[in-house]
Amino acid sequence: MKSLKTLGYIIIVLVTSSFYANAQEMTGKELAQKVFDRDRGNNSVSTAQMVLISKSGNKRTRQFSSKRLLEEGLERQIIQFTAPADIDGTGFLTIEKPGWETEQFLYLPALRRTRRIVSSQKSQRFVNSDFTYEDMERHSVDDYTYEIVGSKLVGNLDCYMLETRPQKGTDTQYSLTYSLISKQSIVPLFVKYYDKKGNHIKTYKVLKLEQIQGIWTELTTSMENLEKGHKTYIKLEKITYNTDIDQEQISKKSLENY
Amino acid sequence: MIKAEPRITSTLLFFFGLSVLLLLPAVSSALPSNRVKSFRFDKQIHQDIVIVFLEKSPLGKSPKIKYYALHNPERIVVDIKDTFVPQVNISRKTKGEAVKNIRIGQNTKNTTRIVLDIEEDIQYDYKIIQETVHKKPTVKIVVAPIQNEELPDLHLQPTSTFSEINGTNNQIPDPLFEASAAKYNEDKTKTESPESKGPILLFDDTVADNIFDETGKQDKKSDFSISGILQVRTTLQIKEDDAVENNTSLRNRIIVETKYKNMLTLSVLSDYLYFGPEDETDEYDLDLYEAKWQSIEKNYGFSIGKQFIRWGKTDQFSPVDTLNPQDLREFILPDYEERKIPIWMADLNLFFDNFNIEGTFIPFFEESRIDYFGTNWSIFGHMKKEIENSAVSPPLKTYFENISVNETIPDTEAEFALRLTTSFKNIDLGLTFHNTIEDTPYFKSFPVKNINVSGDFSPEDLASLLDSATLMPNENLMPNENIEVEFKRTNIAGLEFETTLADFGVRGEAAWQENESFLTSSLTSTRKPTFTYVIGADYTTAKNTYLNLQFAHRYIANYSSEILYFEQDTLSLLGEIRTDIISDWLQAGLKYNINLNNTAGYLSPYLKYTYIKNLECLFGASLFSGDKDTWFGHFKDNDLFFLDISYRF
Repeated sequence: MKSLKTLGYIIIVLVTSSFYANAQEMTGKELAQKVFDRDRGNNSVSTAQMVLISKSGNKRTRQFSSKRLLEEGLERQIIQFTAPADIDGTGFLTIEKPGWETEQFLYLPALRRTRRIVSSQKSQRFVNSDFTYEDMERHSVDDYTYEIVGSKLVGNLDCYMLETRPQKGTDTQYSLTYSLISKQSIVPLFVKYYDKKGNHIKTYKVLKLEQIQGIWTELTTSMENLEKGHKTYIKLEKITYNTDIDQEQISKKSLENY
Repeated sequence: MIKAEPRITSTLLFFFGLSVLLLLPAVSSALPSNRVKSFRFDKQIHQDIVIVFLEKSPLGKSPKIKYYALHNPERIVVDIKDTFVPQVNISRKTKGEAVKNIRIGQNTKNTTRIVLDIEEDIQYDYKIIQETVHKKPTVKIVVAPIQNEELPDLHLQPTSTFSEINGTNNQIPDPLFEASAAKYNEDKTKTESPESKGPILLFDDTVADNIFDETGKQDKKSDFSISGILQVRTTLQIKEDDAVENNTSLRNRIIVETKYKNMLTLSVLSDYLYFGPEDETDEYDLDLYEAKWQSIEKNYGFSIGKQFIRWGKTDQFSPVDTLNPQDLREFILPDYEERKIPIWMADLNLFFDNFNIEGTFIPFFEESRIDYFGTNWSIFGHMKKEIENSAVSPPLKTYFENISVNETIPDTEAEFALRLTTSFKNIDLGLTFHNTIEDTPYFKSFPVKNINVSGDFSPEDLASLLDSATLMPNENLMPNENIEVEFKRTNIAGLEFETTLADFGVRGEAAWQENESFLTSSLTSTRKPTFTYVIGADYTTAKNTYLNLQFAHRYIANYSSEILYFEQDTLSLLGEIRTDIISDWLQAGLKYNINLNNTAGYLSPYLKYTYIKNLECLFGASLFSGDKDTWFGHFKDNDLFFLDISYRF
């Protein structure tokens, strides 16, 4: 009898513990933090193509290489265009600083010098694509509120439905983003952007996803601007993670000496 | 022995169970849970395969396997977490097409590291696969040399034979190495983890595949590249204002540049410039444009050769950017950067943690290109032609026709310059010093004496010039003097800064020049110290309208009223406004430079068309205003339309 009681206590402990674990569903903020923290490698080197399609169907293609480095929680990235000839050598450098400040620099071969550019103009389109500077920056998780509103399948991938709204005082062009985030890879596969008036203005999609070197990688993405009828596709042609690059290769020096 | 109360026993068990639950992960993480049992090398057609057999499959919530390539020397590194290898530092040479050596060891307490050393000078691709072979969990590393710049199909084909390394290293006992010669692959059971799946296609968007099929693969960046620009600019006077003027001009520039690894740059310039039809002139140059060797290392960088070095931060007018001379034959019609002339320089940069020091040595002097006579933009305009067409006596006409310019280069041509740059918070700062020879001429003497011109070389001005002039002819009524021109040495100390403030880019420069040459009413020069500064800001709206506004002030110390075109204080507003008309391929813009002292100014409205790839068409006008004794005003009869077409390749 006594031994049965003891066994009963043990079982209660075990079962209660597992129930407790299951009852702790992930919050929206936790999901957002997971997305922020997901493994993107300590660094990466890649080449990509960007195609801009206007409303009339006119296409403009750009090719660029990119290097990204994450050190002590701060990211720096350099993008250098290699084609077409009229933008060959144009480079863009962004450096995160503590406190979520970002420095941005633009090198134009015609000017033969680097210009410091305004990083606070988030709504500016990056090289006339449908991605704005805000879309390309990382944002503090604390600047927004989050709510998981359900689940949805994208292809065969089960996804969280996450709504994100800015906190008061957050400088952003969006009043709401609605994301579908893969439960398996924690990659946002689909994002709808809403402006300050609540209009759905842009849609981002991951068209091809693959795990490369163990890291889930968006190989082909699109951003559609519903207001302008304009679309941008980016295709990653080659990427290598965790290779031997350092800060020197992602600096103003390397921007000017490409 | 004291018998414990049942209640106490139960309580103790409860807390014990709880503590086990809480501590279990910590306890279990102290020892790797997986073990490397053996490994095998398999050489297939165009593929080298390394198979590492494990005790159990390395699955779990967080990625257990990380892998990456390293260079110098070339190697592939695979880390398997929560795994240990019983033996210390295995190293095995192989005879693979790509893999020449396999090393396995314990990298950290919980991570086994596999390193594949790759043959030098080959291109390869690799893939990591987790699968079960002969009911054993494995990590398979497949390395495929790239044959014809296309990635090979890494899906493994069943093979009938394979080779393997037999035997053991007698010096280091190797019980892990399997010597069996079992047939590979045929009926293995694949239990691929999510990591091993290929691309996952989402959303039914076939446009992406189609457009990237059209564009094809990106060209690999070659060590050697050829590029260039083909440019044609033509101008047409808006109206005929003067008796003698060039109604049209044509400029054709071709630059072909070759680069090797961004270390060596060599370019050639073909440059044709025509003014006409009145007072027609043309000039053609085929020159070495740039020829430099440069290297950038972590702590220093240098460049030697014929090159451009751009200092300063401001746009279109940069007081500290004094290293390169300018081609002013078309005045300011070409953009500032286009006007710059590359010269021979040696430049050394030293990079420190918080600042950089740059030193520049210029061994040979090269002046700015300016025409003295015969074009709308020349210093003395169409003076000779005007006099030729006037009613003055033939000897006088001959006298002026034969006036020529004699330029004297200083004996010591070398220049040196220093620049110290740093960044503080988000402000870039620079201090400069340049011991230089002025690129623009100093008129030491003019063969016609006792003259007092206003700077306007109109027929009326010339008539008054001749009335009061004292000529210095020889017995043949030929001028016995040339216009003597020198190039004077001076020192320029400067300051530059650039930052961002809210939504504005802010930049500025200031330069003190020890002595600067100015043309006077006697058509000789005087030299005065000057202080010039520019401060400006730019802003881009959400709709991509670009606004650039700069304020400039030039102060001439010890000013004398005989100086032509400039007052003691010259205050100007200059900049550019630009906006998209249709998408990003049709823009309208306005460049401006307005003198606040006397409302003389320059306006250049334009349309820019860039619909066709690499082709830029600029159509606009250059409009000058102000009194004729002002810098812009004395060109007011030169208002023109221009068409500028550039093609880059």
